[in-house]
Amino acid sequence: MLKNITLGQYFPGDTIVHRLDPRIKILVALLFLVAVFVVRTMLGFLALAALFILIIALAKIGPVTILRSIRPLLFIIIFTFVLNILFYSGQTIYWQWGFLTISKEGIEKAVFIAIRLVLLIVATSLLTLTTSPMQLTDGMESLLKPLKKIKFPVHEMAMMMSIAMRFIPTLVEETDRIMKAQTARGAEFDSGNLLKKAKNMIPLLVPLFVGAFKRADELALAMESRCYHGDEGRTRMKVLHLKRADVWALVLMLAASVLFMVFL
Amino acid sequence: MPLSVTKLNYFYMTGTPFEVQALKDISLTVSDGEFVGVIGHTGCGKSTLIQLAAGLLKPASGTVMVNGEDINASGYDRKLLRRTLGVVFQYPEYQLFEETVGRDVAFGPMKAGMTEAEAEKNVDTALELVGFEPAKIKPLSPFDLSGGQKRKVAIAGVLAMDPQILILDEPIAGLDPLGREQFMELVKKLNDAGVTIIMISHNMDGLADYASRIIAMDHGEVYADGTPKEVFADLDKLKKVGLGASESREAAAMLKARGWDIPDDIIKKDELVAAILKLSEDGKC
Repeated sequence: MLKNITLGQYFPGDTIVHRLDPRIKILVALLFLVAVFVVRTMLGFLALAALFILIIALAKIGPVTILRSIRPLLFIIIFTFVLNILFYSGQTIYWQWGFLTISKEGIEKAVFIAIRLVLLIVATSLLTLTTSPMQLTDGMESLLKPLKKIKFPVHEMAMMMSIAMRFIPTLVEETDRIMKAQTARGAEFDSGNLLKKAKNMIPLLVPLFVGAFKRADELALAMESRCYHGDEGRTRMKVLHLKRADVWALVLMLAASVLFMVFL
Repeated sequence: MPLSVTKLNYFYMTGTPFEVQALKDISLTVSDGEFVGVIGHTGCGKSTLIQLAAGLLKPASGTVMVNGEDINASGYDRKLLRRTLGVVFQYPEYQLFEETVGRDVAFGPMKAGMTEAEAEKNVDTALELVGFEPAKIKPLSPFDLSGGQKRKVAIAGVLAMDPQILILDEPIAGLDPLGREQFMELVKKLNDAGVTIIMISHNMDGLADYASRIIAMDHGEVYADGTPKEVFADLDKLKKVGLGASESREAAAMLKARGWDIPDDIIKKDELVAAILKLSEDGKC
């Protein structure tokens, strides 16, 4: 029943974009986010879009995959678009009805915001599509390391994130199994009104939580019996090393973004 | 309540490059009162088959008929199916969720539309069947019980629906030898009372002792189908797909390979013992 859910967007590949250091990719993605907000002209957006398309092509990601990543947020994009058109009061008014106005400035603003949202999604998707969740958490942990100075539990956060991600497919499988078992006992999960539906979830949720807690206990025990004791003195299987390509990528992207932000 | 499937096909991950055909044109009929053991190595499609038979998955093509009615037809009453056909999954103890054992076991019967009095009666009978004293166990929380007890309660939850066909997916995995023995006895008792049993199991000894028919599956197809004696007779055929027979059958085959005059239809321990005793009485060993 739940087999068709795809979790995480990672799209395995072996391109120059995939091979980049995750830290660089996170930094560049952040840079892009800033650029998307700073750029205020159509030309600037076009330049950013061209840059993103170039990266998409380099990473050999199909256009369908990118469009699919936009789809979940399509509603929000359309919603803000319509809201901006109707409620932004500009100078050149085309149509007015009560407090609803359609003006030239309103349309411009709406288009700008829509483009901005799409570019934001594409920029973040570029990161998640080409970086595996494990690499992402490794990169995050490495980037956030300075925060350890102020006692922020960086390693623990990263470990929690990777464990959570590791167990999503397991939980999905378990949900599927319990759903089937309860369905066989006559439980229904998709009928009735909202309240009834919520009540119908109890036979699914209780065993799911019981199982999850039990699993957490067992995992903790397994980790401890393999001498896991947090960050201190822990070595890594995959140590992140900056390569020349990584530095170049960062420099190039930084230059491009700054160029766009300043001149366009 | 015969159960029959015709030309059943099923795929996983349809529409992706990872698509696998889990079942290929499976057709078979299980008659009333049979005790069918389904064997096959992991991934051969046996779990998929029983889930399709129980109406928990929809076939890509083919039909599943329970008592002459197509269970995937649009007008079919699913509640009727749930009452007719009970399913015990692997590790059924994970399906417990209610505050008390009594309420958990009553969940299925109530969902099937029984009155409270009827459900109560069925709950007591089911709990007794699996070896509990209903009055003692009912007020307890299922989460305070031991693993083996939990499993029994979960099975009682299925039995309380009074199914005419009982499908079991590896029900004895993880039980101790005594628990296994007791469980197989229970299934036998149900079978004797007229319940059709379809049981997936890797425990060939249990199947040799109790099943009336064995279906071996391989790569989504029926590989062998017959009485335990027939299916276990051809050991080489079973080994080819990573299966084996009961220990007694294997032991008999080993003795035969060493020149003993032992027949190929020995599958149970007492049969083996009898055959060896006979040989020693005849002075042949």
